[in-house]
Amino acid sequence: MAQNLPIKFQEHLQLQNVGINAANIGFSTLTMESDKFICVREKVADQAQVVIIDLADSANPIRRPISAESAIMNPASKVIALKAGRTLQIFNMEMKSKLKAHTMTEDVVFWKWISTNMVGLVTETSVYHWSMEDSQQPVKMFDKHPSLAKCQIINYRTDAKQKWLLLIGISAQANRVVGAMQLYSVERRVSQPIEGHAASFAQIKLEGNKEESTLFCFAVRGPQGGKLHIIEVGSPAAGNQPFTKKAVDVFFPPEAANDFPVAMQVSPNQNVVFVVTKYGYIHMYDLETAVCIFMNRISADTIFVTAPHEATGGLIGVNRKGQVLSVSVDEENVVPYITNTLQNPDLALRFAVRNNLGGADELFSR
Amino acid sequence: MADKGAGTRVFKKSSPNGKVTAYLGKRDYVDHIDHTDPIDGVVLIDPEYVKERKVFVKLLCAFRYGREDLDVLGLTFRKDFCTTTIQVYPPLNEGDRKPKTRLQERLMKKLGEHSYPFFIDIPKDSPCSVTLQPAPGDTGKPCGVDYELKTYVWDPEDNPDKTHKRNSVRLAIRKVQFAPDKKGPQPTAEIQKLFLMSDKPLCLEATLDKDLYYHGESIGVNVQVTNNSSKTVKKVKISVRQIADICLFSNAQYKCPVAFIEADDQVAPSSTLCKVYQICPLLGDNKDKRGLALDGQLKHEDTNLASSTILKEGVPKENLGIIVQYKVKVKLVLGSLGGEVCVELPVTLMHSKPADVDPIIGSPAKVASGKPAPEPIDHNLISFDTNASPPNDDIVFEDFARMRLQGEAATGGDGQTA
Repeated sequence: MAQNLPIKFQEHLQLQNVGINAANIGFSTLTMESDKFICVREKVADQAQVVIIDLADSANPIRRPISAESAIMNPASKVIALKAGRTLQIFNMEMKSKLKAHTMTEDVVFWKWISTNMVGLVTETSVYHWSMEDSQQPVKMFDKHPSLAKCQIINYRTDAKQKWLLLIGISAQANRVVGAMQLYSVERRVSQPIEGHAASFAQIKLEGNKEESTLFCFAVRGPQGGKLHIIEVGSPAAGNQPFTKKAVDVFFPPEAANDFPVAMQVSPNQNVVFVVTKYGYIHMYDLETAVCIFMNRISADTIFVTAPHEATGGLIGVNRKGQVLSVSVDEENVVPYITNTLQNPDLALRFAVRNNLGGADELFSR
Repeated sequence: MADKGAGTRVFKKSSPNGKVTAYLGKRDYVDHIDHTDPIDGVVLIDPEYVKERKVFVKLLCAFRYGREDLDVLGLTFRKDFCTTTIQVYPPLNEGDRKPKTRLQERLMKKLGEHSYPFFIDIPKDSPCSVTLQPAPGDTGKPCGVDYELKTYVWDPEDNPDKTHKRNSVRLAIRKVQFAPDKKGPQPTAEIQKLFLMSDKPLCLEATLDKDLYYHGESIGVNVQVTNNSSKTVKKVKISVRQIADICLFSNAQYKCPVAFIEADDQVAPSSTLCKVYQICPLLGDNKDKRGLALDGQLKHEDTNLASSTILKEGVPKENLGIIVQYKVKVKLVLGSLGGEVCVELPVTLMHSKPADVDPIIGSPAKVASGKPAPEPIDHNLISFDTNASPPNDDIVFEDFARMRLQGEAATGGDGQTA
């Protein structure tokens, strides 16, 4: 049976095996902005250090003394952003040179590289974008919506063109973790609060359309249960057919009463949506139809950080034990799986054609 | 100025043949007036190489006042203020040896059994490091007061003064003073001038907002003119002048304006002027002035105007090398025949005492909102100056910079001498 799964699961590394203390494997000390680097803050004797694990050379982590309380590696290059209080500094590690520095007037509660040359900064009140180009200062993008005031910010992301911005926070309310999101349109300068836990943007060229559509996908577990929504944001490009919005249930087993979505990544290779839950379940949905293709538990420990896995189009994540793992579509098995196990030949055919995959030959002849 | 960084930074330098390496915890030794930081370091030797020979460390404070390449008559254009030489290896079993400092203990633990600690006290009342700005194209070490710590292997069969470049290490260090915590009185000066044709005087009063400024800080000069004379004040000129007393064989004093403003503020007869002028002396505006006193340089990096020398009681001037002082001069320019009226105010220009506190280490969760804003951080949040230190080591090594000079235009000269 195992070889017929529509996903591939791979363990890349155990962080504890490369000298990372288990206590430092968590949301506030470990960051992974892409599948290139993992950054861990540790304290060895009296000295604060940052450990940079190059995932292409994970046996040789680099340790450097730091006095920062947050460190995030650029998604593409050996550039590190560091933050202590309101002081932000960015260094090129190969040149050993400081590229930029800035002092904020407010504390930065969350930050993230939103592209290879832009950092998103979230303060108590607002969200800023800080470009790496020239001597640009952070530019305020929008003010935080009151619905996120009492939330811990867990993510910030944008669509490919940085026209749509999304801030995600969580808060504990009445025995459950409530997700609060703020979707902001740069062009229209309006915000919309949405209840949701995990979200992502995706670009997809729909059948018959000339231009890509920008989709916004988000997963939520509310009092009524789990839902995945896929909606087109903005007006469809000229000549494009609009995307019909989808909403499907997200299944949570009875024993996972307090589980909720924690992460989402959309594969640009096969246009599938991966949803990761706090309890370590992974769900895979077809982006076009929102049909659930597969779900399974892949980790007994919470996966607290994820990033797109470029090589496979899947996602890479780190769990609390320090296991670095990736999940991707198994291109050999996925079409037969949709055909035989899901008994959904229409989706199988569409999936095979769209992604140029084998396994649907007999469907053509039907 | 020296970089500040996290972790314990240790400066090291090896002899050209790599058999002797000296380690120091810092490059700047602070003169606290009542005492000066002692030099505590460690020397690592290769016992196979040193064998029966001895290893010494020598501190030399010298006033270099002429270019070394002009030394043709066997005269050296230098005056040695102090030299202290101690034997590091084989260690002397003196009963009253100082206990090792924590830095020495940690270094020796890391470097192993062939490392030896040493202490040198910088003699009390020795001068602070000062560099005299070289002219573009000057080569060799710049003139001024500098400190050098030399570690060398000595062969008993050699001439006692003979050392070899291959097995010696020279480290440039600095003796520095920081601004005292105690603030002095506000400098103020007043002058009245009577003119032949007027029965009442022209009064000029100038006050600085404080007596001590940090480098880069703007000096507020409060000028008050009460003109009861029949003359007209045409202009107000304000300058900051550096006064350097070169205490060598005879005292020579050099004055050099380092900041200057000229305001077309006029004060007619029977009127008054009350105005605050801002003036900021910076090295950047004085790069062309050869011989200007600057704070001692370590690397071929920029420095700043020399800090004011804190004079200590009972210390002969000849021991001070270069005494640096600053004065603010306020000059009123009267009409063509009236001449001018001026006052001078002493002002101190120094660096603030660096904070000894550790940089912030903490998780974001601890940074509660509503707390007073933390001070902006001016040091680097990451240190690269390490050769992949192993996980359990919190010592960061930095190669000691060679002594070079930087004139206005970059020069290719390497001041390293044999």
